[in-house]
Formats: sequence, C-alpha cells, structure tokens
Amino acid sequence: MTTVGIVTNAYEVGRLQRVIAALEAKPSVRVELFVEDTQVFVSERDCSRWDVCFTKGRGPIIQAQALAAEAAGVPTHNCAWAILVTNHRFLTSVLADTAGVPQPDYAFGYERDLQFPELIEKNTSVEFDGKFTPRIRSKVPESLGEGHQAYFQRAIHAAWEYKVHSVGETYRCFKQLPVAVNPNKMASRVAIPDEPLLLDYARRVKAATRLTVTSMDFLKEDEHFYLTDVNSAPNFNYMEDGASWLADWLVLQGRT
Amino acid sequence: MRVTILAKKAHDISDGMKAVFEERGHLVTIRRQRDLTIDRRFLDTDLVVLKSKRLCFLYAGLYARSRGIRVVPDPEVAYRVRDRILCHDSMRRAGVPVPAYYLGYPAVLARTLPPEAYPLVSKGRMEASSTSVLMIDGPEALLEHSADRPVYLQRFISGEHFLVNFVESAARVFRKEMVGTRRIALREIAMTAGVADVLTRFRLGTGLAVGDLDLVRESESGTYWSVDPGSFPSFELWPDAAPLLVDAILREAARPVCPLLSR
Repeated sequence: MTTVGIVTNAYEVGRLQRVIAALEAKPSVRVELFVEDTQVFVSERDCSRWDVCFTKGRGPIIQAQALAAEAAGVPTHNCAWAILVTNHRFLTSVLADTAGVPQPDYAFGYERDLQFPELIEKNTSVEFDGKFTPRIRSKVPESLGEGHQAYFQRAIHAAWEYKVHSVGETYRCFKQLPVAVNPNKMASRVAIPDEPLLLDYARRVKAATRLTVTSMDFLKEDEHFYLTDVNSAPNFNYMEDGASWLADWLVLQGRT
Repeated sequence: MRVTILAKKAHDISDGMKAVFEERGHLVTIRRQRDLTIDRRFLDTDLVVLKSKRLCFLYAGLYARSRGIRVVPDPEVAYRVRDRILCHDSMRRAGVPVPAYYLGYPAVLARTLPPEAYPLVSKGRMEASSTSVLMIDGPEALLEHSADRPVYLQRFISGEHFLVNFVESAARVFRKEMVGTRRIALREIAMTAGVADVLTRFRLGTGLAVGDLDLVRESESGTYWSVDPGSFPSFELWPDAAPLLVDAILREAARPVCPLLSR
C-alpha cells in the first residue's frame, strides 16, 4: 500500500479531483488530504506514515507541512524550498540567472529607476499578491512620484508564448498567444514537438529551484527565448491525460 | 574595498560600523529601502552588509551573492532565521530546543485547538519586531486576527527570559524581566552553561558570526528554549560593538563561500 499525502488548499482541491481519482483508481494507493483552509498544522505532528507527499498551493501552511514531511523522510513534490523560492519572483529570476537561463532584463525596486522604457510590472510575491494581468506599458515619468517597490521585467514583444510542463524528468511543450495579447490562454494553446532548447532551460531552472512538478513560460523575441514565468503549482486539467501523467509519476516516487 | 551597508533605521550601529570601516580605508555607502532598486547597478560594490533582514534587503543580498559579491551575514541563512517556519526546522536540525507551533486560519485554530493548548504566543511569520507578538489566552483572542491570513502560534514557555547578543566568540547575556509580552528591564549577567550550550548549537547550526537569541529557561524542566533568534541584532545593548563587528565581517568576507541556495 502506498499512502500519498496531498497538501493543498480548498481552491486547489477542486482542481485536483481528477488526480485524486487517478490515484485512488490504483489498487494499492491510498490518498490522505491535508487542506490548509480547514486543518491546522502542528509542528510536532508525525507525517511519516506517508510514502510520498504532493503539494499544490503556495501558502505558509502548505510550506510548513511540506517541510515536516521532508523532515520525516517523505519524498515531497514540490518541496518547501522550491515553493518558497518560486513564490518570490525576484528570487526565481536570480536563480534562473545562476542557471544560465536567458530572461528579460529585470529589477526589483522603484519604477523611476528602471533602465528599460517599456515594462511589465508583476506581482512581487506569488504567495501574497494574488493574480495579476500582465500588461505592457511605458515607464511612468519620474515626476509622478516615488511609487512603490515592485518586480519589473523589460517588455518582450513576441508572437507566441511557449509553455513547458514538466513532471519529474518528462516534459511537454505547448504554444499559445501571449497572455498580454489574449488573456484567454487556452483559446490558442496547441501542443508542439519538444523544443530541445526549451527543455534544456527548463531542466536548468528545475535544478536551480528544486522544482519537480512545474510549468514555465517563455517568450521568443528576435529568435531568442526568454523565461518569463515559473509556476510551482501548475494545472494539469488542461491536458486530457494530465491527471494520470502526474498520478503515475507520483506513485513511482513513493519510498516503498 | 567598497562596502554597502543595507540598513532599515537611521542612526543605528550601521553608523558606527561605517566609521570603523572608513578608519580602515574602506569606502562605505549606507543604503535604505527608499533608495534601493536592485539591478546591475547594485553590483558596484565589493562587500554587502545585511544589517536589516527586511525582504528587499534579502533580495539585494541574494542578488549580490549570486554575482559573486560577498554578503555578510549570508542572505540565505538570514532568510532562514527570519522566516519562523524555516527557522523552526533549521533550529531542530541544529539541536536547538524550539517550542512547538501551530499554523492555521484563526477560525480553524479557534475551533480546533484544545483548551490545554493555551496560552499561546502569536508572532508574525516574517516579523522580527516584538510589536507583532501577542499573548493568546483562548479562542476568542484568535478571532481578533485577520480572518484571511494564517496565524503562527508558538507554545508559551513559562520561565526566566534571556537575551544574548554575540559577535563570534564574544557574547553578552542579559536577563529580561517580563510583564506580559513587554520588556521591562534588562540586566547583564555572566554567561551560564545552559545559555552557552544553546548558543554554541545555534552558531554551529547556522554558521552565523553575528546574531542574537531570545531564550526562555523553562521553570519546570530547566530547558533553554530559543523563542526568537536573529542574524543581526540592533546592538543597542552593546553600543561599542562596532570594531568587533567590522573585524568579524571582514573575516567572514574572506572565507570561501558555498554556491547560492545550496541546501
């Protein structure tokens, strides 16, 4: 019997139903759910009964539960550290830099100080700042005041956005119209053959952040790919076999 | 050497460190949040001193470190010490006694915790300031917290309260008189074996050359519990520490460094 601990939140539980069903359809798999909105994390609680832990969500309770699972020797995907560093866009960019993955120029600070004229302001912390709609705009004049500190990327003008989903060592590539052009990302998304350069970049980012289950966005400008987003809690429901892709891999990660 | 000190407050120990660095021929800039934008221009320095653990300064420290610039204290360690969830894990691994904690949404905590769990101490996950610390005597007090943010609740330890500041092997210990969660008086005392044991574990576990510990010696068990460690104290209780600090920082800066985020 393999016990899969799933650590998540109420919103994601709905999106995880297909994965849970795929796990429970296996003859020797049991699923235990920890939902942060309805349960309390206790630092001394033992979670060593789990054989593998899957996290879907970004909040502190999920991170704490992931850390506890890791401390008990339970293989945890994504691990607490990966969730934490990818919650902070600036840290993700720093790590991608160290991994040698091209990105648009980026900065954390005040818009008045930026050295690129066109920009996208993104949420600094994926954990705290919620969803945002990326919008390319010109830098505001200094005369408009100090503003607030934020994470900025140089605007990239691209015809297509490329997406790499990864579960363990397997990858799938897609392309779609950039979200800045059409926020309905699924309307134009199509699967494409594996793009070796994107896969290489994705592997490097995963190694630098320790993500094991992820999706990443790239934009292509002047024949160069630029990493623009890294997601520690991707949604696999957009793929017909996404749930079984993830469930099959998760069970193989179990320590038994 | 060009030294950048990242400091939150004006007129703190940073000014003293700047003076000592400058006496020794270094060029020093103190930068605060209002004049901090982190991009390639920030790299125009040889050494970054993270006086404050504010998030924007930790970002700056990690950015500098990723580009091969020495940062003291190590920004990764400073982050781990500042974040109570990571800190609890790190302290346990280091063998430093840390109180158990609960983490949850206020209404869920209020509904779930048994009466014997109280009293508890609520603390901000990333807040170092004592102003965010509240005693929680029962479920009613929990419901005064914002409903949509998780609350970190540490087990309350009843006993004598100590504050320890250290710079490498030099340490000063102060006994705190507590009324509720307010600090009333601090009296310097001699190092005790119990404090020294926890301090040694903390220093070995974190590798920090400079730091502070809030310890409570539990009345019943005699255990020294670490309730609030830090990677760079204010040194208000040790105002002449600047030369020691500069020596320690320069020694740290000369040590070989591990790759960024290598855990």
